[in-house]
Amino acid sequence: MNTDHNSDGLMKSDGLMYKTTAFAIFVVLVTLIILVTISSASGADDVQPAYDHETTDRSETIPPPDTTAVPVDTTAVQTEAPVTTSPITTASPVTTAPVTTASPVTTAPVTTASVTTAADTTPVEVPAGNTPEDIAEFLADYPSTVLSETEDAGQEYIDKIIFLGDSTTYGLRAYKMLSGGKETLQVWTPVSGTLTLNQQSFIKIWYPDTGTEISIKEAVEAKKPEYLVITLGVNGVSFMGEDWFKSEYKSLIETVQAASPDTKIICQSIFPVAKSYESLKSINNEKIDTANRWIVQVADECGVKYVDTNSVLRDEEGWLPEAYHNGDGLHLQTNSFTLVLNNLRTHAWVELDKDTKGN
Amino acid sequence: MKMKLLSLILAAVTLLTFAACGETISYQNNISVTTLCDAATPLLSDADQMTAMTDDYISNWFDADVSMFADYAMMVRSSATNVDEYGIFKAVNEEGVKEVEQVVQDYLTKRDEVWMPEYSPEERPKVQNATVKVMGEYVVYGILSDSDKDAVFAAIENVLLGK
Repeated sequence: MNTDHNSDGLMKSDGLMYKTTAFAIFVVLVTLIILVTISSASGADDVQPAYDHETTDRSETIPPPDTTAVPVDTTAVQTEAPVTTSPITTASPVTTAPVTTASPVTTAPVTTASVTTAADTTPVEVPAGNTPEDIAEFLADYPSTVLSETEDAGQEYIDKIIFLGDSTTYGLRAYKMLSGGKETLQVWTPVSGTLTLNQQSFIKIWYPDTGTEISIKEAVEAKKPEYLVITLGVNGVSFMGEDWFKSEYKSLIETVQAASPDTKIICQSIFPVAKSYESLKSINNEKIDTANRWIVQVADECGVKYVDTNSVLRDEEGWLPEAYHNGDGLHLQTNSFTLVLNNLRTHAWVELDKDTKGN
Repeated sequence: MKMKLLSLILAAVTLLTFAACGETISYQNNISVTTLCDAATPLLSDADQMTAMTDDYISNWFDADVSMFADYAMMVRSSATNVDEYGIFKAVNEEGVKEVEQVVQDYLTKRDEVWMPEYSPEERPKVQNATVKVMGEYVVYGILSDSDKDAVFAAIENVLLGK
């Protein structure tokens, strides 16, 4: 009987177990069907994505860079901090007299060039930029802001200038263009050598006097330079609109003015790029010319000066000549830096006499 | 007997499978971004160089008003020794998460597009491999080395999970 009873009880239990199991599967299947039906009915766009724990790795969607033709910018990357000793006063600049052979070309029409960049074999229509006449006409509207030609102010004038900028300024140190050579105290850039305009408010620059990284504001407060030449913006023209660009530039000037009211601020034009420059889709002379106009307007608004160096670095089509860059189409080298410095010397912010006063 | 056992196992596996499918990680949505940054930033080298960006900086890069975020922080290295940065953006509600994620993705795409290849090429992989991670109502991105990214994301996630 016990066995039977047990057997009978087991049989009843078995039956209950099967029923429970079947019911569970039934419930799950019905739930699944309902979920699928609801999902289909509401459409894919209405389904809320599962945001929990969702990761997007952008490397899956961004193609790897074409590194076969990427030039390494040896002037922009500073791997070692410069030695900061007392100023070397015996070092002489590369040139002591202005070079007179370089002059802006005045007959270039506005043309577009079909350029094949190293990174992209598709020809890109890239405007070469404004004509010299266009630039001159625009600058003529700002006579009290744009520095006009002066007598050669000499090397002593250059020696008074602090150069703040990006990698196009860093080259002044790399190519030993200033007193002190590579140990010059006159170049202010971040340790990387590059500085994008939109970073000006927070980025730390290498302050050669102390060999430390400090903000631009702190550097100006400490140095209180007699002249400060700002050359910034080429990195920003690819993505900064007018308002953003002007706002950052103005903010920088106002920061300097507040930190050192007596510092004479000279905004230098962004230099042109060469036809061989790899990233002409992002940075080209049309964008640079536009940004240079913004700089003039900001300089005028802030009561500081503007010096047009861009014009002495252009060939007859408006490009940076191939002989003027270090191989990447963007960064200058000794011969072109010489033109830059000579242009500053001959468009100086000095009170030479009554005729040039108020330049 | 075998049938019974098989049925039981099948039922159990089915139920457990569906139970696992329904599991969600439950993030807290009331943690301040400052708290999250306090957990993440110290994990980076030279953490004192990580600087909070201004509203203007963010809105200009994102081409969007910061009011679309309930809370936010973008931490960028002030020394130009590398391009390290990360950001945390909290959507105003669950429905806003997708939009926030999109503007962050667009920002990272723009960063990659405007990268000048001649500058610090060794840093570019950080931009190309930038990662976005959504944790509840928080959208987090990192332009960091893989190890730093893992550390930052884990720190933020742990706080949001109450660990």
